[in-house]
Amino acid sequence: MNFMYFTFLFFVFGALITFWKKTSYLMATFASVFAFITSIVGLNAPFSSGMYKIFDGFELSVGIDHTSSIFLLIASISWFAIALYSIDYGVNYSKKMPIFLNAAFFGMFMVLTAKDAITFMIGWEIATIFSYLLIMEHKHSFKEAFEFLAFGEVSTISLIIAFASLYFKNHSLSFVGTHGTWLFLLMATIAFMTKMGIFPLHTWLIGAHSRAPSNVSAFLSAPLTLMGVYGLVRALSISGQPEWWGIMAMIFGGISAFWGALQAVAAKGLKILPAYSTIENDGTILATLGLSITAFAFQINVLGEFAMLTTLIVTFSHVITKTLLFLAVGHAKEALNEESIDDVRGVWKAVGKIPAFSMVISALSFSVFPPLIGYVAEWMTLETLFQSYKIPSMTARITAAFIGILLALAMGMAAFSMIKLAGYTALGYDHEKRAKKIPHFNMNLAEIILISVIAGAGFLSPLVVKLFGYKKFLFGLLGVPKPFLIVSSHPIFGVVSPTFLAIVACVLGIFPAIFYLLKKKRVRRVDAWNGAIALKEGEYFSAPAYSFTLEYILRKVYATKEIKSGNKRYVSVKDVIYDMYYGLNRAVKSISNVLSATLMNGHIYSYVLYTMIVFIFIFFISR
Amino acid sequence: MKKLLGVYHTNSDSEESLMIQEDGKIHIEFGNSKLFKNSTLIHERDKVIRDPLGDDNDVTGEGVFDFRYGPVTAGVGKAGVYHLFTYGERILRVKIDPSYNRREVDKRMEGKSIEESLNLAQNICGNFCVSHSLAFSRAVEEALEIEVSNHVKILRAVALELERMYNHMYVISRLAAAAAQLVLTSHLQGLFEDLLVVNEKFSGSRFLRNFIDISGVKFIPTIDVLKDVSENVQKISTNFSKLFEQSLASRNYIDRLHSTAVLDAKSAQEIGLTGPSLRACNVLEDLRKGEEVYSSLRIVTDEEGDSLSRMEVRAHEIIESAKFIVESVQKLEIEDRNVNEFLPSNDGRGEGLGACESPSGSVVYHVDIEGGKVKKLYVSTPSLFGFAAITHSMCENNIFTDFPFAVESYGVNFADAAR
Repeated sequence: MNFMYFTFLFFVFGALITFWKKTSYLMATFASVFAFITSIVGLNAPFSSGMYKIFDGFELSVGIDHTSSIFLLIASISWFAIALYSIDYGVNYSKKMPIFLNAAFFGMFMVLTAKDAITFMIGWEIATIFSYLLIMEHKHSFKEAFEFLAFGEVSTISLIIAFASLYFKNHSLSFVGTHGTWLFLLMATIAFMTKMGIFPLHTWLIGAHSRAPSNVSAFLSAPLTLMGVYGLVRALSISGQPEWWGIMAMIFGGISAFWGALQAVAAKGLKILPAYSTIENDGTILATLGLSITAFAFQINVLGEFAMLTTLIVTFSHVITKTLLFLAVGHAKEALNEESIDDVRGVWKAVGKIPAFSMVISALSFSVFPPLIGYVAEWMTLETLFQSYKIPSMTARITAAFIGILLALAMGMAAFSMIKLAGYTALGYDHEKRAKKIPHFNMNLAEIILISVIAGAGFLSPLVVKLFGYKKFLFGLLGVPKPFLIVSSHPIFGVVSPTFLAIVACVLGIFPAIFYLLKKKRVRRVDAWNGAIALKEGEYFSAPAYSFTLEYILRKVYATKEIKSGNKRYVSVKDVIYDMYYGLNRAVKSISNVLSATLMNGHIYSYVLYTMIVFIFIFFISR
Repeated sequence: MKKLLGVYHTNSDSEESLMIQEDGKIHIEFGNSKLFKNSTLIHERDKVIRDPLGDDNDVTGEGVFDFRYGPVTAGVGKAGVYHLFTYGERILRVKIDPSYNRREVDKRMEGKSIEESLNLAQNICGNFCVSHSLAFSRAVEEALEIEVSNHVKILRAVALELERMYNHMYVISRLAAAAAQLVLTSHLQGLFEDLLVVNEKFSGSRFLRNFIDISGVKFIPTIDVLKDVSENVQKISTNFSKLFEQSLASRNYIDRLHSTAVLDAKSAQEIGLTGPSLRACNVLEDLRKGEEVYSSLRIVTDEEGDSLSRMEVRAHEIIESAKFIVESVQKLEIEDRNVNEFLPSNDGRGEGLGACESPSGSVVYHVDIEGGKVKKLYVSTPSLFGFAAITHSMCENNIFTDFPFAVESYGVNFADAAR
């Protein structure tokens, strides 16, 4: 428990000593280490601080149980990498950034350790407000930051209603020993889905991720959306596992995954593509969670548990890999001072091998490349969906089948978009641009650590499964010793052994590698050429061209427009959900204008009338 | 409508010797080439070919890049470059660089004897060697006031139609190959080979080389050979007619050509396009119309101006050329086999204009001869305008998969354009 207090303490300390920026970030790094230790302790021995009663029904409490330990473990790795990275990256930003970063981490830690609604809400608001301030650290990002805040407050209001419902039912705001109503679950779901950026509540995420400083983008995409997943799991533990929720989650999750992947394919911005990838990943998490809850609702516990394990592994994969992707992309973006995928080509040569390799590894993981953690996560997702036939409800089975199709399409498109991102930036032909000299030791170190986690967690994924407490899905078969085989059901339905795969790949790779190294052949490098002459700058296949065919075929979905303006030509695609919010925005403005012209027009009679109407309305409500 | 095919001589902006084609006839007139929209194309024909009716600047924008196709790559027959500006799949603008094939053959003809120049003329473009040597010969014959016998005129016309037949057959086989019509392609290539065999019988050369001579022909086929040629051509034409009819029933094939690289008649004429590509835009214009030997020839036109129309015009021209050859051989059987010798009548001095309807349009030569040598020469080739028409008709509404259908349908080649 002491480690938990140390974590709080170091985050507070980090926020206070902001006049030494590097030390402040270092404090956040230490705090993350303590958070990690807290999670490991919590996984083995859950603990609670006890109740601090404020008045009847309002008690504050913090502690760690098995669920929060898993989420804290995932979050702490991401915090650690972001904080370490920020030691170098933060040099270009103001002294306020470490305050905001420490405070936001503090808020999230509070969310994860909260044992009651009040503590949870305090942590939630701290994380939201300081995230807003972090986005504002980037110049000219007020609109995006405000959009984030608006959605954040929608989330908060939904949570207040949810917790109010919880209180009216149980006369307590504790998470322990209370039971939520359908209203609690519905409102909590809206709140947490907003934070996860689930379709159609995802638009805030695109602007915020692309405009924010890259360390903040990583923070918004990975640990902050993780809070949404944790919130859902926590809400479900309070309210039970209703079938309707499972089906609804599958539908929203599946559509979100598909929509995110679809938009990622067409994305041209360096950070917009990973932002849409976040929507896709969060959609997959929600869909598998939905299937888990549906299975539990019908007492198919083995499938329910495997689907829950899938949710956790997908979450782990998403958080770690997306953190790495944003950090690496930010590294390249900062060094080259460019915004679009096409303009950040040749990272390997121009910026450095570590950020380029980081992009490649994270792209490979998202593209389901074995034995990385992304491969394990996607295998588990498909195995979960394949077993949906076990659910007796026809509605649930049909839903799962269609969602399976959407998720499979999303996986394919994710690989397509990741090839676009890593292929053009990390491995693409360089522009002969000179990268800006920036301090990068800690940035590189953070990236190397995350690469190791992605590779290690994939290679040793059976141990991760065991650590998460699901050792019943570990087995040994056909020469693969226990526990290095992951099984998807009992009796066995499907099996995979990333460890075995990795060993085979290493053995097969060792001899060619030794042969290659012993030969010591001179490598002669030549310029890329086409048609017998070297390619010039304007002749390289561009990133937008890579996805144009799909944008044209799906022009109704993308609202694709081919724009001509003088000698300029370009393709415009959009996320049509923005139009929905634009319409809503216009409607609100129109109503606001009408109300201000009629009721709130400065005349005393109108004002008195308005006051009376409100009074009568409240009178009837309160009755 | 007047079409500017070349600028022979320039004194000042307003006083240029313009090579004009109008209503199927070529003439020289004095004037200002800048009044024609293809003026820049003609003045800068040894540089990059751009759309004469479009913008001179390269297209730019997010994701736009120059997909350079060539100079040495599969699918480009001779060294040349297609610069296809695109943001992926859609072809936004095209510019074509034929300069890799610039051998300055026309420059090298200057100062050479007429015989040497004739040899060089047919080297400008191997598959148009009859057209080039015939146009050059006609220019020389006009300059030196040489009369050509009717027998020679018919033999030359037969050679020209044989050249048209095998070139058109080749173009149509390329279009079929581009649409992956493998059976059709194989049959067409078989007929193409048959035509080359006929050429060899007729002229001693599979590609009809060294057939045309000043004031005559270098090889006079016997009556038996001519009859054999006539029979074979008839047979090839019949076989081709069947294949052509069958090919029109294949939607896979026709859909690839229909609405591809559409060109309207006005634009085609402003560009300076001639030949079957112009006739595919419903413009009844053919240099053969004015020649006596072609009095029975039916000129084929079509309406759409797309790749399909261009293919159909060529297909019908194969059949019409075969009919013409059969009729001509019958005439030759009764014709006096009189061939003039090359005897210059004005001390080897004079200026002349010669033209003929090559398989892809008008080949025009203007020669200035002094002392039996070519003093100055200007040659206008149809491929220059064909390439310009490609740059115009490919823009904006076509995609990469349309490219081979567009290019092949114009029947152009870099050697002809670059000289």
